Amino acid sequence: MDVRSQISMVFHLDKCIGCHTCSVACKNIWTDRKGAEYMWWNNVETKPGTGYPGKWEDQEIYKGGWKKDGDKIYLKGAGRPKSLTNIFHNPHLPKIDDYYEPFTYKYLDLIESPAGDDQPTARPISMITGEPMDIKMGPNWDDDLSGSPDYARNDPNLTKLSPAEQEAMFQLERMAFFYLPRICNHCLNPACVAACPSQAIYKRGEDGVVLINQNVCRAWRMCVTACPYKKTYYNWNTGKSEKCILCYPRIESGHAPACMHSCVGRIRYLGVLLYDADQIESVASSDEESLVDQQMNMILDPFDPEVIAAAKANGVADSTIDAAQYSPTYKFVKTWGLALPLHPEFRTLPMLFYVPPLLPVMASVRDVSNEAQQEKLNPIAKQWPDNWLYDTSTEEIFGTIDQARFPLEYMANLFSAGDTSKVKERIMKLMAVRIYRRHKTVGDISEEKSNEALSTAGLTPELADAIYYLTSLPKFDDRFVIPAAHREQAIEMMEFTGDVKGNTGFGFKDKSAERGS
Amino acid sequence: MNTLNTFLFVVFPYVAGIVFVVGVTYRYRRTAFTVSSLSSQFLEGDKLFWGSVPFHIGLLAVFFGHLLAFLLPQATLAWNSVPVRLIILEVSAFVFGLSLLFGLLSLLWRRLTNPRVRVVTSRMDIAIELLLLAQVVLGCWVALGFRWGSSWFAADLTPYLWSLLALSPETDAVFALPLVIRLHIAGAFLILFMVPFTRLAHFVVAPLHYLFRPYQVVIWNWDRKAVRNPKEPWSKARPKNN
Amino acid sequence: MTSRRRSRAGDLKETLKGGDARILNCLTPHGKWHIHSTYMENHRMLTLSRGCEPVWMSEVDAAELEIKDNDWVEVYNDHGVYCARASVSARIPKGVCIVYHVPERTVGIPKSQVRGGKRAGGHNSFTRIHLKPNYLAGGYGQFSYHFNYWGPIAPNRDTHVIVKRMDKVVF
Ligand code: SF4
Ligand code: SF4
Repeated sequence: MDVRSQISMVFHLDKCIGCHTCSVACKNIWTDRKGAEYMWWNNVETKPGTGYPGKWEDQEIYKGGWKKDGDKIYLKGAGRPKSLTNIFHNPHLPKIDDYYEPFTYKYLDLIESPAGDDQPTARPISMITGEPMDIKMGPNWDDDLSGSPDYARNDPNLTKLSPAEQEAMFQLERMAFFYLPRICNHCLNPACVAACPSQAIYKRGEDGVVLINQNVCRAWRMCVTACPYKKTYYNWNTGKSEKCILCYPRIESGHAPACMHSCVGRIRYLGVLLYDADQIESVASSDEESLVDQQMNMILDPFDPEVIAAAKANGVADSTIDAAQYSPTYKFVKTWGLALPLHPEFRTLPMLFYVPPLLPVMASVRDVSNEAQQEKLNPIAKQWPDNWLYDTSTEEIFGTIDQARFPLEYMANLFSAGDTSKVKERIMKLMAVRIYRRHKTVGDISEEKSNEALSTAGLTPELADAIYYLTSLPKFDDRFVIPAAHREQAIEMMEFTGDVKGNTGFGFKDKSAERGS
Repeated sequence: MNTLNTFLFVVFPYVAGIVFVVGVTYRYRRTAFTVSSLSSQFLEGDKLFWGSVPFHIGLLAVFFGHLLAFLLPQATLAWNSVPVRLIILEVSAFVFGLSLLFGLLSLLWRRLTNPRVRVVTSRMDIAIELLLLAQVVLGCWVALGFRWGSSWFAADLTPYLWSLLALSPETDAVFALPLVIRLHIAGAFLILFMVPFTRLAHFVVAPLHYLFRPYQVVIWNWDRKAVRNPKEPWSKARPKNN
Repeated sequence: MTSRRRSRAGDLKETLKGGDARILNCLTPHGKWHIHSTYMENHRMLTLSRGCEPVWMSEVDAAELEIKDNDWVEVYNDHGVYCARASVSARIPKGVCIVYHVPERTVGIPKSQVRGGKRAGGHNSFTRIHLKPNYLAGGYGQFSYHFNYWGPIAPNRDTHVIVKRMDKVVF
C-alpha cells in the first residue's frame, strides 16, 4: 500500500445556478493575459450542450484520454510513439476556432469618432489579430440551451439515446437542463502528464495538484490532445501550455481556490482523500463496468489504523491525515456514496466528483386531459394545446425516476460510463433526503413513508441529517478542509534557513547581507 | 579575397561554434521560458501540415545525410563506388532537399499571408526563414550543378571540417571550391551562429528522453521523511528537494 | 376586437401598415448575468453572453421567419427598434421572444435598417416605460441617453414586436 494524499473536489450540481461567477473569478486572477484570453480554466456548461471546446466529450474527434486494449491501456491520440511522430503536426490538436476567437471591442471609437449625425458604436475586434470580426462562438455559446438546434441536439452524450428519447428532451415543458461547471480534475492517472514528451507536466506528490512547468514546456502540444476533458490549453503567445493550477498558492496558504471561494451557489467542496497509489494502473485498466467501483475502492478510509500507519510511513503529514478525516469530499464520495466522477470511461481517474442533479429527474410528466382546465382560462391567457402534466407529487416515492423528463441514460453517460444503476442509486438517496426533510419541515409526508424512503435508499435519519447539513447549511470551514502545506519544512528542504539567520529581515533573496569589499 | 575566405572558413566557424554552445547553454539555463518550438498550429493547422511535415522530414534527412558524410567519409565513398548506389543516394537526398524546399516555401507563404500567424511572427522569424531558404536553394543548386556532392564532400570537405575540430584548419581545398559551394558552407556556419537567437533553439531540446521515461511523473516538493531532524546539525552539502 | 388584439394594435399600428407579419410577444426579464455587474457592456459579461444581449426566440418562430441561430435581427414596433443577434432555442415557447435587460446600444450594435440606417436603441426603446414621477424630479436630464445609462429599466415588461432578419449589417 502506497498511501498518498490528494486534494479532491466535489461539485453539487443541484446547487449550481449557472452564474459563471467561478469562471469570472478564475479568469480575472489567472488568464487575463495575452494568449490566454480564450482559456477558461474554469468553465460552466449547459447540459445538454456541446460545451467548450465544442464537442469535447467526443473522443472520436479529439482522441483524448486512455483506451483499453487487452489488459493494458494506451493513450488514444498521444503517447509512445505518437507524441513524437506527430510532433511536427499533431492531427488531433483542437484549434482556436474549436474554442472561440477571443474578442473585444474598439471602445475608443466611442470617444474618438468624429462628429456625425449618428452615434458611434464599438465594433467587435479579434483579440488575436485586432481586426474587426464576426462573433461566431464563445466560451459558453450554448448557455441555457442557446442555439439548441445546433448545439444541445448535438451533445455527444445523446448519441446512445433513441431518437424518440432525444426528441422528448427538447419538448417545451418536458425539457430540462442543468449546469456542469468544469475545472481540471487533477487526475490520478493524468493523460496530460503521460503525453508530455518534455516531461514538463507533473503531479505534486504532497497534494496531487497537476502542474505544467513553464520552463520545461516546449509547445509540443500533446497534452492538449491527451487530456480528454480539454483542460490543458495552449497559449498561442508564449508558446507554452497552461492549465488549472487549483490555485495552489491559495491552497498553500489555507485559502480555498478562487472559483470555490466565490461560488454563489456554494456547490463546491474541497478536501483531502487518501488513496493507494499502487492501484492506479490496475484500476485505470479495469473493465468499463467496474471502473467507478474500483476507483471508489482505491480511496482509503482515513480512520483505518492501518491506512494511518501506512500514510505516516509514507511521509503524509499528521495535519493532512486530520484533514482527510474531516474531508467533505470523503463524505460525499465514500461515506454517503453520493458523488460520481465525470466520464470515468476516459480512465484518467479524475479527482473531481459530481453529485448528479436531481432536478431533471425529480418531476415526471404524466399524460392528462387539460381541456377542462383550458376552458376556465381567460382568453388572453396563453393556451397550451398539450395534454400532459408536470408532476411533482411524491405519492409514488421513487416512481418518478423512471419516467423522468431526463432519461437516466443521459446522466449515466456523463457520470458512470453508461451504467444507470449507479446514477439511480445516488439519485434515490438524494430524493430520500428530500422526502425526509419534507416530512420534517412541511409535515405532509408521514414518518413511515419518509422512513421507507430512507431505508430503500440505504440511509438512516442520522445520515440524512448529515447530508442535509453539508448540502444546505455548511459553513465555509465545512466546505473547504485544507491541510497545512508545511511551507516551513518545504523551505528547509530548499535552503539553509540558518544562512538567513542574522540577516537584515528582508530584501536579500540570493546572498546573505554581507558587507561588500 | 583571401582575407574574406580566411574569415569565413577559419575564424567564423569557431565564432559560430562558440556562440552556439555558449548561447544555447545560457538561454537554456537562464531563460528556459523562452526555449520553445513556438508552434502556431493552434492558430492555423491545415496549411501547417503541408509546410511543417515536408520541411522537418526533409531537414532531418538532409542533415543526417551531411552528418553521415562527415562522420563516415570512407564508408560513403565506398558506397558511392558503385554508380547505381551513388545515383540512389544522390536522387533520394535531392528529393529530401526538394521536400525541404517545398515545406519551407509553404511555411513562409503561410507565415506571410495568414493574419493570425502574422501576429505571432517576429522579424527574426522572417529573417531566419529567409536565411534557411537561401541555404536550401544553394544546397539544391550545388547538388544539381556540382556532381556528385556526396563523394566530393566526403573527399574534400570532411578533412576540412575535421581539421577545424582539430584546431589546425586546412583550408586549401575549401578555398578552391566554387563560389556557390563556399556560400553554402558559410551559410551553414551562419545558421549555427543564429541558433541561440532564434526559434531554431528548439531542436536542441528535442524530447527523445520521452521514449525512456515512465508515463506518470510525480514530484515531491517536500518529503517529510527527508526533512532534517532538528536535532541534527546542518550538513555541508546543500540539500535538494527533487 | 379582443383585448389581445387591441394591445397588439397599440404597439404595432404604424408598423403593420406595410402588411401582415408574424407578431411576437417580447419579454424583457432580468438577465442572469447581471448579478456580476449592472453594466452589460462589461467585456467579461459580453464574452459570456455571445458578445451582445441576444434576442431569444423559439425554434418554430425562427424557422418560419427564416432566422438561423446567431443571425443579426431587428426587433421593432411603433415605439422603437433594437438590433441584436438571434439566439434560437428550444426552451422558448413559440410566439414569444426575450431580450434580457439591459443591452447597451453603443457596443457592437449595427445600424437599424428599418429606421433608414440610424443607430437603434436598447430594448427600452420598444417597451412602454411609465416613469415614476419621482424619477422626473430635479430635471437633471438624467434620462437623456449617455453611456452606462442608469435609467428605469424594463424588467419583465412585455410588448408586441416584429422580428426581422437583417440583410445588411452596417456598423
Ligand atoms: S483533467 Fe486533464 S489536464 Fe487535468 S489532470 Fe486530468 S488529464 Fe490532466
Ligand atoms: S459560481 Fe458556483 S453556482 Fe455559479 S456557475 Fe460557478 S459553480 Fe455554478
